[in-house]
Amino acid sequence: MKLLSSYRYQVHDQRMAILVFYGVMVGMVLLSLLFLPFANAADADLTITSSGITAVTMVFSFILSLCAFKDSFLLNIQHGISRRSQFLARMGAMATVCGAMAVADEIYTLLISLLSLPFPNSFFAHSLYEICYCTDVTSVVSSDFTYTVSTSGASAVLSIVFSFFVLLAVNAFGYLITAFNYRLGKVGKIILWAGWPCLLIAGSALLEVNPWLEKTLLSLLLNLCQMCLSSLPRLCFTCLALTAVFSGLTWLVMRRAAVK
Amino acid sequence: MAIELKGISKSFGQVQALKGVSAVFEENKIYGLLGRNGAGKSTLLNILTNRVFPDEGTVLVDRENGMENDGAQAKIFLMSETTLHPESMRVKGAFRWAKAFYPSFDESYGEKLLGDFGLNPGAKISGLSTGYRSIFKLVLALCVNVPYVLLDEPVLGLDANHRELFYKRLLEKYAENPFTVVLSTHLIEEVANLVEDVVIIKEGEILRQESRESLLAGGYTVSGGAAAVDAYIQGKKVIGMDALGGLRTAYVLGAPEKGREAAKDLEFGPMDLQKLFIQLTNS
Repeated sequence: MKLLSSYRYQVHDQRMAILVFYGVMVGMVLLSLLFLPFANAADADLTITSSGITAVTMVFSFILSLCAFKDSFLLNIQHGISRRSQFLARMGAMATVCGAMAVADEIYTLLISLLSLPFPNSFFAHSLYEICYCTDVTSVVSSDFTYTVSTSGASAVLSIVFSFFVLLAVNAFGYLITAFNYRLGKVGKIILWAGWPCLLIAGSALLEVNPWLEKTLLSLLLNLCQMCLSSLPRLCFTCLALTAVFSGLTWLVMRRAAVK
Repeated sequence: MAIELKGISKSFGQVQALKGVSAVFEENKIYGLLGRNGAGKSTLLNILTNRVFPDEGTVLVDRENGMENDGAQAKIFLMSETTLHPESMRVKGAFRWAKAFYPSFDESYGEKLLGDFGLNPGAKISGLSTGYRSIFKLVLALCVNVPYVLLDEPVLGLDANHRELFYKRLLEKYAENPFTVVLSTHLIEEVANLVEDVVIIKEGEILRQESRESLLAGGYTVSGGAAAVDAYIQGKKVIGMDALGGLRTAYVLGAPEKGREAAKDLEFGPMDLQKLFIQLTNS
């Protein structure tokens, strides 16, 4: 009973932000529709593209997860919910939210594609999955950045699967950061948030003076990306593994979190 | 049926807030949890409700482990000084969620209480004054209908009228359907006639836990002319003294000796809880 209530609260907590996000996205399309007659007068070849919305959703999802911990944790504690139940409810809420956003992304992409029926040559959109995995590389013309993408019913379903897993990993990472940040004291926060940029600068300087190290690391990174992201199943597995790791760490951080 | 604390210790850095505290809050009783600032009252209540973890010790709620246990925690509601509801939430929204988490939450009674206290259900929690924040949390606490309600500084920022109304509603609710209330407050005089049992905590340790009657029966007040009072209290354990002009009131531990010659022209009265508390916790 309490687990369900906690799940419902955690989904509800993020619902309005998600509605606003998609409202803005749809609003931008409507706005471009309004300005289309004027724009067409100036430039007959104007094309409005809205491809790869999931890339934007990933950023939004990350920010959303950064804001998901404190308020929800405190309200749940006020209502006597154990940290274990909160964590389990969070897993469910995260899957629900990511699933809903993955579906919404695809609906948005399909709606933009539908606009190409009344406005041929003005609107076109492809999902991030289609851009990453369905691009016909032979037709890419680098000079004007055009490319062809194969779209089908199956790719729509696969786009949802792709978006779901990517968003899940991003969401789990954001939640881990915010939960970890909550546990840290003032000194810990200063060390963490001032420390990692310093490390980054020191690291880049180290790479600068050691080109062989830079080359080795780059090659390692490329091989890793190739191994983990070269196909949809590989990407799904990688994202799932990352989600499991991030969520596991979140549980370790969360299980001893106290009200401050 | 009770909340039992066994050997609870808690430190915050160098400060030891609780030192092996053991106490029992039995069902259907009103407790006064009294202590000076920093005595460990809030820490104790926070541990009972899993807001902070003890370093040592156990909490049992109706003989069930109370730590990280949804079933046990569903029987407790803590109204704390700190508001844990999101700033953007409205009063009616908080009620809706309270109903979701506590199915026995009485919404209609809540609406009635909001009307009595003059609190707008549509108001944002962040926009409420200190007093109205307390009222909002008190209304929640009175409506959740759980066996154990813990109130930490319940009347913080409330005016005299609202304080009286709260005590009245609390007693009405208690008379209608008894439950355990733990009142942690510094306004001892106001709750003195309300509480049945008293728990006095001092520097992280339980100093006294007994019924108000037995605690107050351990002493008495004696009033009269300064010379007569001084003569009477010779050799007695006096824990405090008030003087006004030529009149004097002494707070004495033990049983009154009204038959003595020195007791002539003196008035005897019951011990005052606040005076007793001050004397017990002063040193």
